[in-house]
This record gives sequence, structure tokens and C-alpha cells, in this order.
Amino acid sequence: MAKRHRTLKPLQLLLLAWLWGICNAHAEPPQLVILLSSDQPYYRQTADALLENIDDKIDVSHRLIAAADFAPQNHNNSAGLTVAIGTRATKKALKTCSSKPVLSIFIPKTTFENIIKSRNACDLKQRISAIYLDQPPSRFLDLAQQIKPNAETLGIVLGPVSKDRLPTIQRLAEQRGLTVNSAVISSRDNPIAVLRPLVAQSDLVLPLPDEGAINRAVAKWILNLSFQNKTPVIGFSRAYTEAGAVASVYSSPTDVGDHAGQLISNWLYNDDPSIWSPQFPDGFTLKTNIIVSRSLYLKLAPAETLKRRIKQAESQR
Amino acid sequence: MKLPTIRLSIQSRLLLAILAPILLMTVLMAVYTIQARHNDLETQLKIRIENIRVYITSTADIALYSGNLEALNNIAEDLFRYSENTAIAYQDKQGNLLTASQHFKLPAVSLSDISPDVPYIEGELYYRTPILLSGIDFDDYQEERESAEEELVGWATFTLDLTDFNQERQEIYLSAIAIAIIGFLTAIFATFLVSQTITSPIRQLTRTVRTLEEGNLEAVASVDSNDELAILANGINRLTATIVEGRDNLEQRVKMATEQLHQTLEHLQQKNQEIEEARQQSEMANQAKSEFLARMSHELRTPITSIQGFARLLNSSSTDLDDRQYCTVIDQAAEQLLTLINDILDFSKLQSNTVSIARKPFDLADCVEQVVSLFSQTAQEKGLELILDIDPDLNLARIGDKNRIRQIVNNLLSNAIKFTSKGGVYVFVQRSPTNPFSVVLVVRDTGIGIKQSNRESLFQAFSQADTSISRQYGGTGLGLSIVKNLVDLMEGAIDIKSVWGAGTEFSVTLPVSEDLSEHQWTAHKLHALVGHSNSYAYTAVSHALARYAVTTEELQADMGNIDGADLVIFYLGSDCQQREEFPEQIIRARQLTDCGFIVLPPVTNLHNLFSEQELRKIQPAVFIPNPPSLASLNKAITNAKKPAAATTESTQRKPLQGLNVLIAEDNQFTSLLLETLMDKAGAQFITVTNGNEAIKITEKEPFDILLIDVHMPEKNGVDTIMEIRNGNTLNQATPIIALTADILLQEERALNDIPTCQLLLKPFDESYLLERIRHAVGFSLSTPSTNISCRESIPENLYIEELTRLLGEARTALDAGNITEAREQTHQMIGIAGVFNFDSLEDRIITLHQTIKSENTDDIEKAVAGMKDALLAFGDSN
Repeated sequence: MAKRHRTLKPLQLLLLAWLWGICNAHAEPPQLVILLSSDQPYYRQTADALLENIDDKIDVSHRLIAAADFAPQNHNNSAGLTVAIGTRATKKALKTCSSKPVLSIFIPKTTFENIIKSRNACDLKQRISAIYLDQPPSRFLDLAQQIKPNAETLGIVLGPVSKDRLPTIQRLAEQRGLTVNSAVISSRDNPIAVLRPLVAQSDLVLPLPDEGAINRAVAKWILNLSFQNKTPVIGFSRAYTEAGAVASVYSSPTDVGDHAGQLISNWLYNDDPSIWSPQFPDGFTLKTNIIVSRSLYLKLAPAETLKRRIKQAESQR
Repeated sequence: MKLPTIRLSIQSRLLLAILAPILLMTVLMAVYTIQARHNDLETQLKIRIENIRVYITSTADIALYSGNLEALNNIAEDLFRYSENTAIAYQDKQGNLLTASQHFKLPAVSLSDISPDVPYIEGELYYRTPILLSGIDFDDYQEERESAEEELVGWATFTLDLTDFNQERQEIYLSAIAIAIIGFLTAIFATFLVSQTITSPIRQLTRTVRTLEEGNLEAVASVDSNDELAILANGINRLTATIVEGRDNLEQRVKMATEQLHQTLEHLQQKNQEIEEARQQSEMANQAKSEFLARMSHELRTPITSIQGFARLLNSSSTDLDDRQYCTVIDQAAEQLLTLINDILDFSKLQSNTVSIARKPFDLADCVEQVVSLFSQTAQEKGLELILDIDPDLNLARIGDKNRIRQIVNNLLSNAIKFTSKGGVYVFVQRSPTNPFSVVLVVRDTGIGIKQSNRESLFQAFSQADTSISRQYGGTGLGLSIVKNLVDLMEGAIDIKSVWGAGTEFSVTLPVSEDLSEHQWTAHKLHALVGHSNSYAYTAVSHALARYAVTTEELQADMGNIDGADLVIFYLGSDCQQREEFPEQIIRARQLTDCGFIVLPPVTNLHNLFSEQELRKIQPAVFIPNPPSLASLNKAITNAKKPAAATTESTQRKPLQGLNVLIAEDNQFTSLLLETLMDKAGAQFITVTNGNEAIKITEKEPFDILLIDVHMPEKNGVDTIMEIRNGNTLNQATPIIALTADILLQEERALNDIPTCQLLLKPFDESYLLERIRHAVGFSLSTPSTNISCRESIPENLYIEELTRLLGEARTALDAGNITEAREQTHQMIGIAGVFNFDSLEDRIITLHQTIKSENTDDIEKAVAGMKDALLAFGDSN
């Protein structure tokens, strides 16, 4: 009998080996797999900002992988999160039927929503959230009030995609005492004919990004008409500001990366679930075009002042 | 592959070496320049097109978008001002032509078919470009936020006049080519000047070298520079100087050598003269030697002939048996002495290298048969079989020296018979197994043989196997030495096989080439039975008969096979007399058949073999002695086929019965001798006294034999014989016996070269002369001829009178200073000198003859006087 107690059976040995493997697996830190859509600098800047905002207290490893080189089967076994930066990375991360959750950042809101809609049954099991590249409409309205405080009418240029946002904007404008004039541009329309009365009848013009309506010519004609009518245009990018918009609010890679880093830290450290709500970026950048403001006889506060005021207004809501 | 070599001058090669790369570089530069300038021109054109395109696209988009044709025309006019000859046509999005400049020429193709942004050439350049609404960049992150596509508002097609472009391009080509040609011509000119500078001194040096080559060593190379060519010129000058110096030295040495050579030549000339004198002396000595030998021959033969004559005379006249025995011994001794003399003379000739080998056509069988027939009597007397076997397939027409071959066979056969006491002597004439141009003569005997130890000295002169042989058999020991010398002279070989006590065989291989004109043998096509007691004999007869298409078979002892025969031949060996059955056997055969019958008895009188009764029983039959000659056998076959006409020669009592003989002899006394002899021998004869008469008579009448004296007036014997042989149709092949008292070597050679011509020395032996005549005409059976003598029929006073007459004519000739004629007369005196064996008279005749030859007047007078006295003395005694 004593002899039988001292000898381990093969089945017992196999069980012990499995348990040892499980214990070791749990001992590994969670891993962040960061997918970059391409080698554009702004994707890398976003990733850098994200990693800088991960709290040092958190034991987490990360890997930066180009979306084209991503092989999900190599990363499914480890705990953690897949951070997809950009549209192409998001699409790649969601095509894997992986159980690992995905945070998509630096992606237009409409694009993300279209991706979510087009997910298949396998992808639906995957947990996913996003930090948009777009700005919340309220931020544009806040900026409009800061640029022309006495403005009464706000002309909104919409396209087939962005026209669904019009009710929200109208509601927010009403809250601020603004009347909304809107114009929806379709590919069949003569944009000048549509824009000309809108600009003439508005104190401010706000074109919203829409891949079905806003192109380089329309953007130019909006600026031309606003200049003819001395109506300031609020832009949504640094380039548009430099082209002729009086001021713009937009999210830089750093703004989005910072926001994502904070959300991930909170999730990993505090198990904060807020990460799983798709959201606009908290941070933003404000840029003004002094020359244009002078041409339009507008007195603009410095951009930092304007940003601070907008943040202050946002924080008060 | 070997490229053809092109010889070019240095200047040409220099020009080629410099101009080839220049030409290449010029072409490359021209091509490069044209290419570069053409590219510039095209780039300018592209820039111009792009500028126009940008201008149009940036200015016309709104006008097109809004359909403002006026604005479009304004743009076109502005462009025409900016760029002359540039016209524009506008199309809407769908390709419909909206408006065009006044100068715009529509191309053959539709404007819509012109590919956008690709130049199209049709006389002018057409460029069609889309017009888009222009805009601004408004998005920071273009990869993330797609914008609406830019809108096409229409198309603009503008034209460019390419005339200037083409003209400019042509100017580029022309200017580049012109520059290249000018540059290349300049390079040619410059290169030519440079090459001239380089090659001019080289040509100058070349001219100098050629002048030097032509032998003008005074030429000096000069180059007006201080470079390598100047060094070369100096080198040539130094070399020339060295050559001149060397030439002078050489000339001096050649001059000295020439002088030495001249002296040497003079010395050689002197030596040659001395040699020539020595040669002449040698020739004179040789001549003297020949004359001495001839004289000695005559001097020795004459007394021997006398001795033999007297001995035979005594032998035939004496009844005392002892006396006859002594006479026989004397005759044999004289014969041996004669043989000895002949051997010594032959050996002497061979030793002095005066014997030359002739190359004349001859009949080999006839040559050997003559020798064999001479020994048949001796062999029969010794009881020896003498058999001659000639290979039936051997071509007998040969080219060589028949006399020397005869001499070889004679000596070998003489030895064989001498050293054989019983058995036989066999002569074989065969083909050489190794060389078709050679024949092998084999002489085999069953004699005493030769010891091995004695064979080495066998061919040495005066050497015999041992001294006992010399004592027992006699001889000089010269025979085989002469044979060896002759065989060596004929480049042949001799081989000996011998067993001591059993016999010897000599094989002589002689290179005698075939004469293509071979004898045509008569084809009898008969079958013969041969009765014999010797297988060698049967083989020899079979071989001989085979030449005449006669097949042979041995006659059976019971003669059972005799019925089928065309011919019966009995070969009677030397032992036939000891065989009692032979006459009965022959008679029985004769009685059993009536076919042709030939009996071959040993040489002897048939009456010694058969009784008269037996001979009659054997008849009809042809008797020919053995060994039979091929010619006699053929004649016997012919006669035997006609049994009724067959006769035995034995019945002819006279040896030359039936022959027609020509005697050509100027000496009356000799003529008388010959006429008497011929008459006694049963021959018919005609006598002429000179060569011309002999030729005339031979042209008219056929003779069986011609007896011609060598020394005759008008035409001598040699020329007469030559003329008869060369052109006389009736007697061209008639046998000839030339008679002479003495003979010069060249005369002897000339006569030896004539076919079927024999030489017989005067004074001749009558029986020997008859034998030679019978052999020459092919008479088969020998009848003892010693009984025939003509001397007793001629009075001695006639002899003296003839000598006196000849002496008188010689005297007359001497008085007239005609030495030749005098010698001719004394020569005739020599011819009859030995007839009556008056030795003292004969000596005086010979002395007179020799003295006249020496042309010493005093001696001649003394000799003539002595001769006259001797004749007077003989005349008085008679």
C-alpha cells in the first residue's frame, strides 16, 4: 500500500501540468495590441500620445502593429485590449472573430457607425467602443457664439450623410438663441445655386464634413460666397482655417491619444466601464485665421482664450 | 578563321589609328547633341502645353460650369494673345461642342476620340484635357475623411502650331551634323599634318634602307630631329659602315681564297693530267695484257691442238693396244691442259674486272642444253646418268648473259661429273620460289660429297677440298671460284648442300628477267607412255613433253596400257647395256603398237646398243640421244607422228648429210680446208670470199648453217653477221659459227651478243667443228666424227704456196706503208698456220704478225726475211 501512495499516475501528472500552465498564464500582464491603419505620421502620433497617458502604475505590455501585418491568432490568448487607430485598423480588428475587445479611435463617427452596422454574427460577440475624430455639434455652436456673439442665424451646410444631424443641431442652436438655416447639397445640384442664398441669409456658416457633398470645389465656393457676403465660416479642420475659414475646432492626434490613454488606464486600473461608450474626444484644438477675421471686420480673442471659454462652457454643462 | 591581311603604310595606319576614334567620338557627340537638344525642345513643348493646360483648366472651369460662352471665348482670345496660333475648342461633359476659336481647325477624327492628356498630331498638335471645378484642400486627415469627388464640367481641346517646333528641330539636326563634319575634316587635316611630321623621316629612312638593299652602301640616313628616329638613323649608318667594312674584308678574303683555289685547281689539273696519263698507260697495259692473253691463248692452244691431233691420229691408226692406251692418256692430258688454260684465262679476266655482264635476250633451255650435251659423252663413258629437267612452267625467254650462264653450268657440271663415279648427275632448271625474275639452276650429283670443314674454302681460287682430291681427280681448283665470281658479278646467289660420301647439290639463283616475247610452243595434244629405269628421267621427260601438250604415263611392265597411247618413248639409261632385257622390251612394244616411237639412248653409236636386226625390228622409230633438247624432242614428236617417214639418224653415215652450208672465207687455203671437210661430212656448200658476197647469197638462198670468217676484206665477219641478223629474212635465224685466228675482246663481246652465233678459234679441230655444227642445226644423234679428217686430202705444197702468196701480199702492203693490210695478210697466215703442225713455221708466222702490230720497221724486215727463209726451206724439203 505504501508503495502505491508514493507513485503518481500518468493522469495525475497531466492534470498538474495543465494547472501549472493556467497559473503561469494568469501571471502575465494584459497586453495592448495597437493597430496602425498606415504609416501616416498622425497615426503614430496618436499611438505615442496614448501610450504616454497610460498610468505607470498599470502593468501592461503593448505591441505596435501595422494593420496590414496583423495576425489576430497570435494575440488571442493574452488578456488586454486591441486599440485600432483609424478606419482601416478598425476594420482589420473586427474581422478576426476575436474575443479580445476593441477600442477604435481616430475614426469619423459616421464611418464607425457604418462599420458597426455592417458587422456579422461573429463580430457582434466582440466588445467594441470608439473615440471619434469628429467634434460634438455643441462645440461648433459654442465657437460660433464666441466668434460672433450677436449672430442670430446660423447657416448649416449638410450633405446626404450629415443631414441626419440637423435636428440635434437645431435643438442645440435653439438652446443658444440661434436660428438655423440649412442647405443639403447633393451630387446632382449646382452647389453655387444652393449655397448662394444660404450664405446671404446667414450670420455665420457652418459646413459639416460629408463625403457625399463637401468637396474641394464646394469648400472653395463656400469661402468665396462668405467673402462676398462678409459672412464668417466656421471650419472643422486646420487646413480649412488656413484656406479661409475664420476659426476651426478639430481633434489633433494628441487630443485623441490622450483621451484614449486615460480611458484605457481607467479601464485597466479601475475597471471603469466608460470606455465602452463610443464618444467624442474630450480634448480639441482651436485655430483662428487672423487675416480672415480682419477682412470680415471681426474682433477675435486669441485661440487659447476661445478654447478655454469653450471648455469652460462644456464643463458647465 | 584567318582574317585577310591588308598591307598599309605607317602613315595610313597612323591616320587610321587617330581618325577612327575621332570619327567615332564625332558621331557620338553629334548624336548626343541632337538627342539632348531634341529633348530640350520637347521639354519646352511639354512645358508650354502644360502651361496652356493649367491656364485653361484654372480659368475655364466656372465659365464651362455656368455655360458662359462669352467668357470662354474671352479666355481663348487671351490665350491667342499669349500664345500665337493657339486655338481652343470647348465641349460639355457629354462631349458636345460648345464653342471654338476662330482659328481652330477641326481634326479628321472626332474631338471626343482624342485621348485625354495625350498629344495628338494631325498637321497641328491637338491636346484634349478635362476641365474640373477647382477647389481647395480642407481636410487634415485625408485618409480618414473621404471628400466628394471633384466634378467634371467639360472638355477643352487646344491646338499648337508645330511649324516652329519642326523648323527648330531641323536646325538642330543640320547644325549638329555641320559641326560634326567640320570637326571631322579639321581632325583629318590636323592628323594628316601630324602624321606627315612623323612618317616623313620614316619614309626617308625607308628610302635609305632600300638604297642600301640595292647595294649602294654609300647611302647615308639623315633625320632632322633629335628623337628615336634620329637614333635609328645613326644606328643604320653605323650598321652600314660595319657592313662596308665587313664587305671589304670579305672581298679581300674571297680574293685570297680565289687565288688559293686557282692554285689548287692548277694543281688538280696537273694531277688529273698525270692521272690521265696513268690511265692511258693502264689502258695500254690492259690492252697489252689482253693481247698477251690472246696470244698466250693461241700459243698454248696451238701446240695442244697438235698434241691432241697426233694422239688421236695415233689412236686411230695404231693397232697396238698399249699405244692406243698411251694415246688416250695423252689426249686426256691435253684436254685437261686446255681446260686449265681456259680456266686460268677466265679467272684472270674476272680478277682484272674486265668481264662485264651482258643483258641480251636468250633461250635459257638452249643455253643449258648446249652445255649438258657437251658432257653427255663423258657421262656415258663414266656410266653416269646425265639428266636435264626443266620446269615446265618456267618462261625460257630471258634477258641476261647466256655465255656467262653457260660458263657457270659448264663448271658446275664439269665438277659434278669429275667427282661422281657412279649414280648420276642431274641438272634442274627451276623457277625461284621467292623472286619471279630469277631462275634457279641446280646441279646435283651422287659423287663423293664435300666435308663440312672444307666448304668455307670451296670458292677460293686454286683450292680443292683437300690435296688428296687434287691428286686423285686433278684440276686447278679454279672452276668454283670462277662460278662464284660470275654469280657475284650477276648479283646472284649460290648455295651448297652436300653429304660426305653421298653427293653434292649446287643451287645457283640468277636474276635474269623474263623476255616478254616468249617462245610459242607447239601443242601436239598427245598421250605418251614412257618406259624408263630412272624416275628422274621420267620426270624430266614428262616436264619436257608437257611444254608440247603431251601428257605422260609410265609404261607398265606388262605393257597393258600401251593401246591407248599416241606415242611410246623409251628412255635408255647409262646402264642399259647391262640390262639384257632392254632390246627385247623395246621390240615387243614396237610389235604391240603402231603409234609413234621414240628411243632416247645414251650418246653412243647405236650399233653399240643394237644389232642391225634389232634396229630393223624397232623401226619405224626416231632415235635422239639423251638428255634430249626441247627442240630435238619436238622434232622427234613431229617425225614420230609420221611413222612411215620416220628414219633413224643412225642410218646417216655422214654427219652433216643433207645440210646446206655457206662458207665465207677469203683465205683460199682455209676455204679449201672447210670445203673438203664439208664434202666429207656429206654437206652441200657454197663458198664466198668476202662479207658482201655472203650477204648477197644469204638474201637469195636459205642455208642450214653459216661458217663466216671474222677477218675478211671489204666487209669483215662481225659486220656481215650483224647485217644478216638484222635484215636478212631468209637467214635471219640461221645458226652461225664465226671463225677467227685471234680475236679482240670487243669483237668477242659483239659476237657473243648475237643469238645463235658461236665463236670458234682457228686452227679448228675438225670433229669439234662438226659437233658444233650438228648441235647448232639440231642434229640429234652424234656420230663419231674423229674419223673425218681433211688434212690428208690436202697436199702440203698447196699449204706452202698459200703461205708464200700471203707473205708476198704482206710484203707488198708493207712496201706501200699499209700496215693494216699487212696485218690482215699475216692474220690469214695465222688462220692456216696450224693445219699441218709445222711448229717452226707457225712460230715465225706469229712472230711476224706481232712484229707488224708493233710497227717496228727493222723488226718487221727481220721477221719477213725469217719467214721467207722458212718457207723456202719447207719448199725445198717438199
